[in-house]
Amino acid sequence: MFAAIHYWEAPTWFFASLRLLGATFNIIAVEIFILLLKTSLIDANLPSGWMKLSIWKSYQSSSVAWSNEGILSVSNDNLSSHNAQESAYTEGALYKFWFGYRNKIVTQGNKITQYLFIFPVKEFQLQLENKDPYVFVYDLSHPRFIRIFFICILSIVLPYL
Amino acid sequence: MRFPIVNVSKCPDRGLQALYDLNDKKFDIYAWLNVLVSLEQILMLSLIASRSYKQLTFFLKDTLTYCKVPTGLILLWSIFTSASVALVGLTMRGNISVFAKTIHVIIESLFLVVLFSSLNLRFFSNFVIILASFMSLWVISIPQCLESVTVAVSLGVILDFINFFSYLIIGLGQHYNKELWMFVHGL
Repeated sequence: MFAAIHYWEAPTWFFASLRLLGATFNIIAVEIFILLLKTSLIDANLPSGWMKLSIWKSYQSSSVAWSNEGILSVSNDNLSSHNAQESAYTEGALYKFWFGYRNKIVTQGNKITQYLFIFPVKEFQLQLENKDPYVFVYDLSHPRFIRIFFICILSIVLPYL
Repeated sequence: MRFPIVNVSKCPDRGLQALYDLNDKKFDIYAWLNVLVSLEQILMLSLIASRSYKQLTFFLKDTLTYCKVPTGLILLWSIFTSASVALVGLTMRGNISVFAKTIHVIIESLFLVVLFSSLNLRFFSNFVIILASFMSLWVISIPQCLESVTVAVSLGVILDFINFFSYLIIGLGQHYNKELWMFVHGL
């Protein structure tokens, strides 16, 4: 493609197609590398999907588990409260991943404080649970699908602006 | 909205010039898609970097037994590849995209340097370092864009070939090494 663009004689549409195809090849190469990095760095620390709460807690990257009533468990309050392949959700609380805006949890003994940006919004006592429900861990690619969807729409709209 | 979106000194190749002259909406949509996906890739890579920067490696380990790929270099290579794809479109190959492309080629040469170093082939690794340094100085110092960019891009193509075949040869002896094979596919 490099040789064709620089040395061949061809119609304009051919050069334009070749240039765009070249960029696409670069994008595909980066996609493969993203997959490689995600597999070796992110998945190794906490895989996505359904798992028991106790198993989720055993991973170093686990942060906050959410149920419909609120917080189910806090493993690491230094990590974000809602983040793919970090936080976890019971079946009825899956929507909280997309619409939960409480970004920070601070635990002091049994007291948990939830923060919205830098403002404390809710305080409650941590209940010791004997149950071990199934929780869902969102994959890092799930929010990406949404971003790519909007990018597709934007790329159709932008040339007409 | 058409490319370039900023009015800076540019240096389009024949493909970019053809894209501009064609003024076809279908091609423009494809071009915007490439640029926006590249920008999203940078975001994704930065997310991965911010979450795993402590685990990143910049050298090869156990090259001839179970080769562990340099994840830090792969991450940097990917960021600057995406940056150069996005900036080439946005600026019609302005100075900033040439700069991103040069860093991309330097990191690409480092893939080869770490491979040769891990095999104790110091003559070859030093040769690649010297070549990459000259190329960088060439691009930075020569004001005529076509002269400077063509050298960087041509060296990039040659490096692509050498990198691919070098790691392919290592990979052929390690068919069980999934990470290495993903790396070869990416190259």
